[in-house]
Amino acid sequence: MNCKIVSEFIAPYINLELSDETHAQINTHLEKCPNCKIEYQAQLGICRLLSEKLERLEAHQGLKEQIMKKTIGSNKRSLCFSEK
Amino acid sequence: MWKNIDEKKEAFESEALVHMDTLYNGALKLTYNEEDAKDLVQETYFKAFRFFDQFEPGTSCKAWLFKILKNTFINKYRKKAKQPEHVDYNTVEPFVEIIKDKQYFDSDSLDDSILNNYLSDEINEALSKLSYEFRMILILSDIEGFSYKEIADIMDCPIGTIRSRLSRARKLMFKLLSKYAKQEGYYREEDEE
Ligand SMILES: [Zn+2]
Repeated sequence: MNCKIVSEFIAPYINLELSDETHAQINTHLEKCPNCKIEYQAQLGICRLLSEKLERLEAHQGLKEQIMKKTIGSNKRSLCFSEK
Repeated sequence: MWKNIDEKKEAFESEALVHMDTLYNGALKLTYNEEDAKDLVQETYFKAFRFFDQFEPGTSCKAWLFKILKNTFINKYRKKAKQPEHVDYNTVEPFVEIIKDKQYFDSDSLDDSILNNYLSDEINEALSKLSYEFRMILILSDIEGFSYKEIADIMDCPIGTIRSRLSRARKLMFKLLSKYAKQEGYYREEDEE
């Protein structure tokens, strides 16, 4: 596998979206190619940054109540307020 | 499907309404405007309730809701939403080129050094500069963790497109963040006393 092809597979490699065989091939390439390794680490860094570092806000109570009222017709406190 | 309206409401509550916070966060990142985000989430839920019989039980309701959110956003809010600053998407150099001469990244553990260098606000600022397609793919893949198949369905495009768009989107984020690093003077501290 050459670097151009490997670079196309780095995103799905990170997301575990490749077949076992292709995953292993990319793995082998990354171990011996510093340039592709940088690309891999940079993409991984961005991916982790977005999944781990971004603050998540809670929707306003008023908004939740409004939505509940206009759909299920109730604004009782219930499961909606305990999203997993 | 449901025996009566009460059953439908019960299913809607446990399948759909539990994702309100997630949808709100997604809407905020699409609009970067609190009022628009609220409207977008409300409209998404009103539509979802009206068409809830089209939801296939057993599939991801969160993905189904994001698809409605996306369509609503495109139809109604996209023109109004904050226009990103111009970023030349076609000439994104390989990571190696961007990293070259950047002494503020430790290339031995580049992913950790990226992770430790930025705060939520800076990440949001960089995200907000991306065009809708790139922002959306990062929201769906890296923030919400949807599978490529789910993303392809939400975005109505082939999986091949998802792959290449995602890799370009990450690259653009990296480039924008590197720029911040430079402006803010985030240089890697050498351990010299
Ligand atoms: Zn290579």
